Amino acid sequence: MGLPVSTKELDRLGDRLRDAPVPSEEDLRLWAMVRPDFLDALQQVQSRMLDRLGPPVTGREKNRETLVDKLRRERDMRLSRVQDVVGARLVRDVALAGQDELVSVIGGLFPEHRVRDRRREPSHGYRAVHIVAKFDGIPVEIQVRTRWQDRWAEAMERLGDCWGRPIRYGGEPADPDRVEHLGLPGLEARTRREWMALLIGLQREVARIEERVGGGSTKVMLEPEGVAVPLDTLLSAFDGFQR
Amino acid sequence: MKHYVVVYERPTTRLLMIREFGGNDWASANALRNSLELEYRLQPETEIVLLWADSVEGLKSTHSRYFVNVVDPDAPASLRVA
Repeated sequence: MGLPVSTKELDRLGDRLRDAPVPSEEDLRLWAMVRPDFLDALQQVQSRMLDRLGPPVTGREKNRETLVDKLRRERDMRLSRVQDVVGARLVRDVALAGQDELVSVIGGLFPEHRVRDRRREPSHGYRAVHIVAKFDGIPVEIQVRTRWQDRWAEAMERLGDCWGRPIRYGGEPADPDRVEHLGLPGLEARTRREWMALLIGLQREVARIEERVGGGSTKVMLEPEGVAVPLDTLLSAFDGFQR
Repeated sequence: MKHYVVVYERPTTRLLMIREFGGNDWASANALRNSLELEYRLQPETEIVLLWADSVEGLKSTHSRYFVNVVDPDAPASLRVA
């Protein structure tokens, strides 16, 4: 790795960040010293993607808390092995075949890369294609999403902010038996656990819509009400839930 | 490519602050992010995030979750419309 600290030092830093209830100022400063090299790699990757695919191609640095969460969740994970310290995201209005084409083009930009197709192996409902490209030995995760996959993922992320991030990894929402209204006419109240199951089930509808090229209905039939709701309206309504 | 520093409060899903820096002003974005991380060190449910995009609209198109509830009075006007 082209980083200013050794792999061993980086892993020790990861251990301390994982184990400390609150990170020390010294460790935050050390992490701040390491990050510019990850960010350089990300900017090179983003720039190459922008040249080939045009905007928007956005980038993000994994924030400290989500990084620490990951190290705590995956106890065997070493900081030097984390593949998504930095990442680029590409969201396009395409069907599955178009997404495959994008993945192929991006793969061609980076000789050293690995593809993980989370459409075939969804992670607790999350679907997308991830490419890990290496730049100067530093990994950069590129998330390639269709508009619908992104819409779903952002709804789940936001719900995780309100009901607890463990729901993104198969955990229960906080206060799972609490009954909530979604705020759409004709829909009955459900428990948070039931809303979670419904949201995860919506990925089947997303997949169905994405298999079609061109138009067609994006309405989802909800049972037991027998009410058809546009998928976008339904996902937007999830943004209305609070803690 | 512009740099954006974002302060996002998870439990309330509020975007407390967003600052934009030009492509050549990476050092200022980095310094602000580092100082905010120290400032919010004891508040793990507040995310300090560094993002890159060609425009704030591009950012909103791929990271919409941050922009559902913008309370920063100095945020760009386009972000304050739901």
